[in-house]
Amino acid sequence: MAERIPMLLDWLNSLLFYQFLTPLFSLVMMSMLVSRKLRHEVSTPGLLLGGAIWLGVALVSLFPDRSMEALSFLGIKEGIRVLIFFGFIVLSFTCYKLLLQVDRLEQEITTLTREFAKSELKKSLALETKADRAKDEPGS
Amino acid sequence: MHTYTMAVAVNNTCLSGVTAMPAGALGVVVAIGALNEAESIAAVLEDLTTHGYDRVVVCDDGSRDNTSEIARSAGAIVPRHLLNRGAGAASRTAVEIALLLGADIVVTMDADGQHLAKDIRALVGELVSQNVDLVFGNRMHIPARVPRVRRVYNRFANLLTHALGGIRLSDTQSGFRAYSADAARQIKLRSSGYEYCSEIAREVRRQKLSYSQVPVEAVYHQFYGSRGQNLYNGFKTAWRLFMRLIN
Repeated sequence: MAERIPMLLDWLNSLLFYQFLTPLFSLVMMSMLVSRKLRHEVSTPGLLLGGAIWLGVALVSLFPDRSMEALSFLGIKEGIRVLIFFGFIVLSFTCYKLLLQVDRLEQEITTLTREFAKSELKKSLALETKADRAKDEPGS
Repeated sequence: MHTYTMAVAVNNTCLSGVTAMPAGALGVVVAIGALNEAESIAAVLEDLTTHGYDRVVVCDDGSRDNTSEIARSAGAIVPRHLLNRGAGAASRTAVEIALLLGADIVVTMDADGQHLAKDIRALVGELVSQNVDLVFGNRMHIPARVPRVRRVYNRFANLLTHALGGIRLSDTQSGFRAYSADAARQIKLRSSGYEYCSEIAREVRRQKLSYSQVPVEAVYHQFYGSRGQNLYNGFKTAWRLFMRLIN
């Protein structure tokens, strides 16, 4: 155990800044996930999946070389660029769909606002006509 | 803060001899959409009244000042959007109300005093004498009178509008227009913001409406570049126009 401490210190010394930051961030996200679970805002499978993802993020940042070995074992060493490219396509398409949806929602809000304005106008004009008639009636 | 206008004045008399008859005898609807125009709306309405357009609908697009109250006290009919939806949205609302009121001709103009009521006669006269569906007011007939930023913006907007399927016009972004009631019914606007001007140009082509242009006077205020249509909004407008195309 005492021999491993210097090895551990050497390893910590060799880490880059992002390799401190990323696991710390993953820890924060995992703790938030746990607190959401305690508030029953996330299911157990959701907790396990989220935890696995953030743990994976932390491990990849702490052990990048080992991670690349694991990826090549899974057979995606050569195709990593394809994966990244595919990821960009998926993200772009998602953004496009979101923009369209937001635009449609904006149009619907405008339609609602317009119909409400028209109906309020009709009501106020009807009230004015009533008031005018009441004034014109004898004895008013 | 942005401003835009649409004034609706309704007069249910028959349409004939436009240039000879007083304004009050024509079935003209002038539509004004206003946003935070408390400083100028009273003068605009007075100008309209002086020229015989004494029935006005001012569509308040969620103003934070007392635009509504001033317009109402000047005798206008004031429908009010609870939420600010944009110049195009207010334009559409005012046109729909104008049609409900039985207008034969709808004239749109700005609430910031840029347009003058005396030019309505020219717009309506052209509409009737040439028997066209739409008449566009052209502010660019004397370019030297137009602020430079505005000229650049307008040229860009005209090119873009034409490139995206709109008709070729000298001033696509002018809010000063006259429509026949049928044309007003046919034009379907989906735009909420300033891009509605370009969308109208596209609708004219899509609906195969006949149109014309007449020169109109424009009064440019000092603060005009800081609100309303400017280059930054121009790029935003271009993006929204593109969204209209793909959505």
